[in-house]
Amino acid sequence: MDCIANRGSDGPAGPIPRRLGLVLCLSAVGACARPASTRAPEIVLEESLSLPLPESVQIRGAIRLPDRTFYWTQGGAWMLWDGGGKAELRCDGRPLKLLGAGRTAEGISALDTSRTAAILVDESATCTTVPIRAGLLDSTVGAAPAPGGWNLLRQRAWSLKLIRLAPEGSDQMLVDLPLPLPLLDSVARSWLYLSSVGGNVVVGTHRPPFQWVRLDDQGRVSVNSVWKKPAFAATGGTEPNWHGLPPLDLGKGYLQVLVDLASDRRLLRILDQSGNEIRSRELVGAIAFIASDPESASAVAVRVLDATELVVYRWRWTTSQSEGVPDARSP
Amino acid sequence: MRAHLRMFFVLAVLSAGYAGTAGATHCWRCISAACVRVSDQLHPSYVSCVDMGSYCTLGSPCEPTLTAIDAAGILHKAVMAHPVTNRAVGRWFATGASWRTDCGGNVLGRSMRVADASRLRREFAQIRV
Repeated sequence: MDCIANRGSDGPAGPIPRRLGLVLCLSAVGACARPASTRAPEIVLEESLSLPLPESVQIRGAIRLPDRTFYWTQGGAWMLWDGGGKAELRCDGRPLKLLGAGRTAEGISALDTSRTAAILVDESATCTTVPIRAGLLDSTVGAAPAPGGWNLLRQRAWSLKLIRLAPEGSDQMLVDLPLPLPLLDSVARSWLYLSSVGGNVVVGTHRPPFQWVRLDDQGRVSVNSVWKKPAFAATGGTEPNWHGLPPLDLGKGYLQVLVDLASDRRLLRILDQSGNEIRSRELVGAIAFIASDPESASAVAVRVLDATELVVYRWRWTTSQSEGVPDARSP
Repeated sequence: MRAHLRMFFVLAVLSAGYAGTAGATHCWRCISAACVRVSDQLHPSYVSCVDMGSYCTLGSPCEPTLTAIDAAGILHKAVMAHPVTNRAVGRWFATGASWRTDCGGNVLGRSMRVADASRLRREFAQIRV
């Protein structure tokens, strides 16, 4: 808004419009004076490379590392290097059947249901296996690594618990973590997911209102994000057909993709560090971001067009005034 | 009159039941008498063929436990399961969706024309949000 243009001139408009112009200008002075840096930053995702995936692959999860992508399906786990090359990860010659996996300082940590074990795969693809108490994973619907152990989301007939599993040698220590009540309603129960962001556990629901919470090490809610209906309604979406994916870490915010199960429509949401939506964009095309690495500012998407691809994107933040110029705060 | 009504009711239930049992050996066919709108809390725009008298027609929420959605939000399978027996009782489909499924509810043929794919590939080379 240009405040100078609103200043009254002695033209034909007369004194009342002049006063009105002054009021408008004063009321908008906040907007006029607001520096560009406080505007919601825009994120630009640029395709870096595309790697083919098998037709109709059903990806269960993925981890992005600076130079490669690890993903797993119902039948195994694979590593795809950015420079080319693909290898199936096997331990003791057997494929991995993963319930969850995450990146740790030592390598990739994964929970394998076929072995009932936690597996650490290091840089040289050597597996270190730590057995887990038999039956513990049977009723576990989600798993995400935590510092020194795992967070498990366990479901029994009428209960749902988030527990901390901390392997100490062959012993296990279980700690109950409180789960926020809104996520415990019966409808959402079968639509919950567990993921991890920056070493913290994230629990959320795939169903509207796509709520997710980030818990700190003590199980306290540090971020609580709930979708605001009006923003979504603007896209003309039919809410119940939409499916929310877990938020991805962008370093200074989050990227969450909402998927229309009945079409190829996608809603990309950028959330600030408090979980509030600051930007969104609708796309028509089967694409979804499933993993990110803030350190290398890269994210992984699955794209289903005439073929199924795994696409690596590099991101940068910009402001609308510095079009195309990387924000100084970009990772 | 009451006898006629009772007979009509019995025939309606039997015909709906036939539609249900037909699914055991053939693809589920959706006929108006057997199409019900399931829980408004879960997929209200989804309709499904279910056998009359099943749990789902009583207005209780039906949990699509056999629905397969991958980590990228791609729908691979859409089957409604009986919440007690976990037996598939109908094939789900989304109103307005372009997905075709086989008898087991597995989504078939998602790929698009090469020209459309090329356009989208160019569009998605850079995404600004």
